[in-house]
Amino acid sequence: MNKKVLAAMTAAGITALTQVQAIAQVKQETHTDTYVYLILGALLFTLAVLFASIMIFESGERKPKKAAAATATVETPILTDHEYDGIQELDNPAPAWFQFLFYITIAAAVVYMFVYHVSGRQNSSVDEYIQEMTVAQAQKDELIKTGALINENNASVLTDAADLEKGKEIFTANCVNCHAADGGGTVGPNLTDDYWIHGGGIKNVFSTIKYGVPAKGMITWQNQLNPKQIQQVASYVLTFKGTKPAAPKAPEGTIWVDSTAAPKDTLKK
Amino acid sequence: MSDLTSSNTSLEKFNYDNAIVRNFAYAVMVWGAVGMLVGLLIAAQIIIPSLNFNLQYSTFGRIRPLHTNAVIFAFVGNAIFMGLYYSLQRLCKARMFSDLLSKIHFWGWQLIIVLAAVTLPLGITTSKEYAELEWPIDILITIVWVVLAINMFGTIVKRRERHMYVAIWFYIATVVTVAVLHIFNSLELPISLTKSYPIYAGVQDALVQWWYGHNAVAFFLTTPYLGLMYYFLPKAAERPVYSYRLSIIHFWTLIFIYIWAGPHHLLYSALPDWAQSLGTVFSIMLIAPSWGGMINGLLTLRGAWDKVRDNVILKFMVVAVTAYGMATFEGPMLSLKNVNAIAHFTDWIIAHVHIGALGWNGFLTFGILYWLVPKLFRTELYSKKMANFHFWIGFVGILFYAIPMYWSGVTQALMWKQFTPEGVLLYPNFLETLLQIKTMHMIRITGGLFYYAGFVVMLVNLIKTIKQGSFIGEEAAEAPALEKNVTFEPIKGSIMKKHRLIERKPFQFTVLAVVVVLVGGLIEVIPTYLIKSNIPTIASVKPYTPLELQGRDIYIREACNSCHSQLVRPFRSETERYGEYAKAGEFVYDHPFLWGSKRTGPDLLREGKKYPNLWHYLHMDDPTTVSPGSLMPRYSWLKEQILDISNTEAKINAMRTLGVPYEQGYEKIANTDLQKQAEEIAADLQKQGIDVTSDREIIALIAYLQRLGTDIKNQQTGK
Repeated sequence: MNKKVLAAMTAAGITALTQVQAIAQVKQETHTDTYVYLILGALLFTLAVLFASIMIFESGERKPKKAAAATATVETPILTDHEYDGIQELDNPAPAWFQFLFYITIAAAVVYMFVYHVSGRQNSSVDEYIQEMTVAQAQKDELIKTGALINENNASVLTDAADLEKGKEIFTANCVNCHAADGGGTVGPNLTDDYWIHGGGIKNVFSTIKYGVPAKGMITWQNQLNPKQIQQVASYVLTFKGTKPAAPKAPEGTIWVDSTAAPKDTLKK
Repeated sequence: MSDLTSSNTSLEKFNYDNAIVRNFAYAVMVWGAVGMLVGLLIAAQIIIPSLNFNLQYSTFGRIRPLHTNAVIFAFVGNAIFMGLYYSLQRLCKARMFSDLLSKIHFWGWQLIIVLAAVTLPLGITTSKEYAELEWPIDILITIVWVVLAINMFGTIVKRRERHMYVAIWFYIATVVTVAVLHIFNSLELPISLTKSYPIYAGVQDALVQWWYGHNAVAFFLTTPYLGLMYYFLPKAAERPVYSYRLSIIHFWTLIFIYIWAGPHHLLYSALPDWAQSLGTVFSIMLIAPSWGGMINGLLTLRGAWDKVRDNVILKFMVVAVTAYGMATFEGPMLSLKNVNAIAHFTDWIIAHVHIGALGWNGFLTFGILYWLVPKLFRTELYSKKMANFHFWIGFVGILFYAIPMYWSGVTQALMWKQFTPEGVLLYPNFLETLLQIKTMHMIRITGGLFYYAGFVVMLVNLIKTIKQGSFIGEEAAEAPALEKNVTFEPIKGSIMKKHRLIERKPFQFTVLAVVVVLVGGLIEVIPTYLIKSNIPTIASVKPYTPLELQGRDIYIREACNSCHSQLVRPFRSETERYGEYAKAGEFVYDHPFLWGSKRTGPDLLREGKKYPNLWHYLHMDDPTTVSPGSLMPRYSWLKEQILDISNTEAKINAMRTLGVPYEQGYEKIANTDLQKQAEEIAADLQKQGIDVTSDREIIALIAYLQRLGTDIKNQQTGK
């Protein structure tokens, strides 16, 4: 039995022992990650065995080959005495780069497991996600601070033809399924009459579009439309008022009176 | 060495059974034609959804598994058996162990395929990819596989060749491992002849399924084909195998490492991170063992490359082996998390598997057929020109298939992930990302048509060859019997030399192979049980109501999961689009899990309560009414067909047996609850002018869809 086999077996044995110890320690702590260490230990052990076995496979053959290469002509393939149904086998060693590749990948595996599960770095899938969301939130906050974002509290009616045209595009792409192209309503309510379920006026309509009314089937649009787009489509929706749709749905909700505008009017009178 | 000469033994005369090889070859030709044709049809359905002819039996969801099963188990399967029965007899210098078993194997396998072709369009499916067939067929597969095993090992035992050639090692690994995989992934609880539930749930089920799915690729599409390569490539090239030592290294390391890599199909899923990491690192380590096969194949042609120019058979084989090398490099790359984040759920994966399927399996099969059929019929190939044409059009076909699919995969993934400067999704409408890649899907079909055209030309060529030849089922051969009670000289030297020892001991060899495979298998299986306790429970997650359970089974029957995932990954682009990312604890009552592996349509994990019942009703009836331009087929029969509630009791009982906490006796009143919930949904629809009664299948499906992913929302609002 050659020394390398012995050495490999000893190495494997030591790995196994440390692994058992690790598990024992982990159990005392009743750590929730027991299984992670268990698996890691098993993995390291397996890798050690794998590495050792490749070394053993190769060790005996490399040296004689070098000796043979020195004496014999390299071109002559070394034929084994194997023959199966006319198929012969050569006794070439595995290409050196192949073995190198193998060692590299095994080393990469060990490093990977170390970095991801032993080093304590925060790089699980969820850690990555939290990181990504933090960055996004910071960007969003910055936008709000600079006033680049329009929200339900500061939205105003757009009257520019280009904006209304954009609003129409958005409406056609997203809203006609439930509200019909002319705003007459199908699944969703009629948008042409004076009745509003969640309040009329630009701010309420902006808010209804932005947050939706999930209980009633109006979905939340703030992840899909940017504030400008919501403002555009809300403005477009308000242009339906008083139009005559082809198949108007019966009024739902209550008549909307603009409380900010109405008192001013009465005062003037 | 003394064991090679046995001049004092007299020659024994026997016959090789060529009839069984010929039968499998016919089966390859027939099922290849069928399986690939179905592939063309489903590729066309992705562009033109009405190509199911508004029939429920031919929707994409139901016939996509028909395509995969037909090409994997029928086309490739029969090709494995064809090559195995031919080469094993000659490598063992013995006739197959039993003609009867050979026949049972052949007809049993064809019966399984026919049963698959009947049951899958009927919607009888377990929903688990590449293991869709229901339990009676699973049992039949097990029996036929055991028949093959007995026949193969019987032949090996009575061989007249002392040592087993490397091809046989691969056959042995294939037969034992496929048995293990098939049995463990098919553990299911039947409630009727055509319906069963897997014993695993949620994350556990996902892990077992992809342990299976990944290793079906390994031990059905790879190891047997390496065996075939080791026989037919040196035969066709008339060259010795490059390296015996490389064979040893890459065989043992391949079967050892492959079995671990399954979790790379579940990166960024609700599977615990450490299991995902195992999948990644073992995939990386798989590069060298896989390439060992490629190197040994290609270097066998060293000094014979001039032959490759003239010999169409070698051309097919070289492309096959190269495609194998490409696919097995790409696989580990796809297992890296940052690559997987882009490629998963997209057409990239479809391109990847087709490099393997069309290139490696397809082209190697064609090469073998062109070599084997003239041999069996004792003639020359009818037309080398046609074979050359087949090679080139097939090769162009692969390129026209793969390149657009890579393109479309990356395009769609980038569109999914893009945000505007204002921080909202740039392409919020999923349909937009799908319509963007329509052209790529059209080019892909062209590639498929080229490939198919080549296949048809091959069929014509082979039929002409068969007609001009004369078949002899019994091929006479002679060889000396193996001496019994031989004492071998002890082998001196390294373990590599000692490997020779185990090559003449099939029993020990098999045991060792099983152990090597099971190490990875066990360490992967143990976690599946550990995982159960590793899943943080979520108190608000409750079992499905009876109506939702029935609806879920309709979802499975229609294979909605072949286009819609139920797995929101922890990426900002996904949580903004779909909602909260998937948590392991949400799936504890999901027998089977329905995460899906491809997003041809949007994810449905958080679909519940997003749209009103009416939206779902209209959408199922005709998706284009509420989603103009939609590429989903109509499911109009759901509003016609009456839901079968006679099995509700059995379903509740089965679920309880599997650990879903329905109260004792609930099964008796389950249908009352079911009808109550159905009437509520029907009333809601009727109120909005829909003429529907509560007993229709669509009501159950709506109930299930409205439940999807909502339990966790309850928890959040509860807080």
